[in-house]
Amino acid sequence: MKLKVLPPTLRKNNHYLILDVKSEVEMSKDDMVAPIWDACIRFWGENASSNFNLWVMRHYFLGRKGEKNEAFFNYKTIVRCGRGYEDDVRAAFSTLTRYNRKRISINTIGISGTVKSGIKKFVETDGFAVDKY
Amino acid sequence: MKFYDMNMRGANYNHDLSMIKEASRFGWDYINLNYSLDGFKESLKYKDELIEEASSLDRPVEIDMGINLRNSNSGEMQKAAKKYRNKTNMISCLGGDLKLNRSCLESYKLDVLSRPYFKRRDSGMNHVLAKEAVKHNVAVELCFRDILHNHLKYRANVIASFKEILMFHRKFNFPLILTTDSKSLYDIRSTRDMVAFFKSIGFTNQEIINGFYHYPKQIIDFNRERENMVVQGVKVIKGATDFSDVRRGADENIDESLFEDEEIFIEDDDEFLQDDVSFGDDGSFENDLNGEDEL
Repeated sequence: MKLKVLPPTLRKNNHYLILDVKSEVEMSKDDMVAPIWDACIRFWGENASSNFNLWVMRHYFLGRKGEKNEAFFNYKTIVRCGRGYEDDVRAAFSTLTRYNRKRISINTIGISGTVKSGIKKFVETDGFAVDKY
Repeated sequence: MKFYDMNMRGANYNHDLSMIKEASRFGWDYINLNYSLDGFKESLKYKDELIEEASSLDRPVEIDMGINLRNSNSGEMQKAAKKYRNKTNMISCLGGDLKLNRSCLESYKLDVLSRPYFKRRDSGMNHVLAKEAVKHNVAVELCFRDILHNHLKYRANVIASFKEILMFHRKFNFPLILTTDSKSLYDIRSTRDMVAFFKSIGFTNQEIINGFYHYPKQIIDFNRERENMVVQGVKVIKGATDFSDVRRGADENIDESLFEDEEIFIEDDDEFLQDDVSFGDDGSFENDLNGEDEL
């Protein structure tokens, strides 16, 4: 039997980080999960990471950019995190450089209270059209 | 507040331009591109073009070019610093060796000792070096790149070195600057990410602001004035024929309204200064008064 959904007052409060991701190789939404958890657990440890409530919500491919050796796949990703832990999570993301021996760089470009407003403010401003929220 | 990155590694025109564009996108306001001695001579050829491109971006960035002395010993460092002092606003030297760390911090010609903990198990600093840094006004640089490119035990070691240098900085107040030392597009991080990281390892807001803005600005302003300095503490003021001219000019600019009679001081201070009012670090104050006795 499925658990009943918690009433809003008992739910955890979340904020959403909008990430600018550069990667040497193509990355799907599922591929994003491992590096994100890896960054947090390496920097903060298992105990502190348990508060972060991380979840990859959306993942958009923006295109291939850069030149020759510096060419990269550019993505924008929306990640859920616990309210009050935004700075801790973005600090952990900023320390990530490689995953599976491939170069990766994650910059947090914005924080939003909802996924919808996050897309509107930080994803669509790049001229990138999102089909539906 | 502006964000100054005093150490971004330059290579060639195209590479530098793409780095500047990316840095501009992530909120940096001033970038100092650092080169080796040979690279610096090459970079002067395209310096003007690069400055023009940087200023025409959507979010203009101020750029400058500096020298980072690597793999040099004390003698070479002194020689290079003397030779290039008037050609650039920033000369830094890569530390790591104890003798080199000390000779860097004892030199007036040098602006920055970069990464004193480089390839060491300790921080490369002690109270003696900290005092020398204050005396000779040489900044110590902590690079974010060392965090990025070290992992596990080594990263923990670098963070420990950062914390030890921060402890010396808090006690002796030598200039401490924070930089990215980014070499490629993958190394550039947004300014807010940098602040979040340094906050997470124990820096206060004020120390971060000083590290990214006040101390770098001091170095740049000091070096722009350096050519007018005869000896330490004596500066030639351009355009002044004698001292009286400068003095008269200064008198004319004084706002006389400042000297009008105004009641500035409160006579009975005592009633406002009560024992149970304490001031926080950030200037805010809180009192322990309850209920009706509020100020």
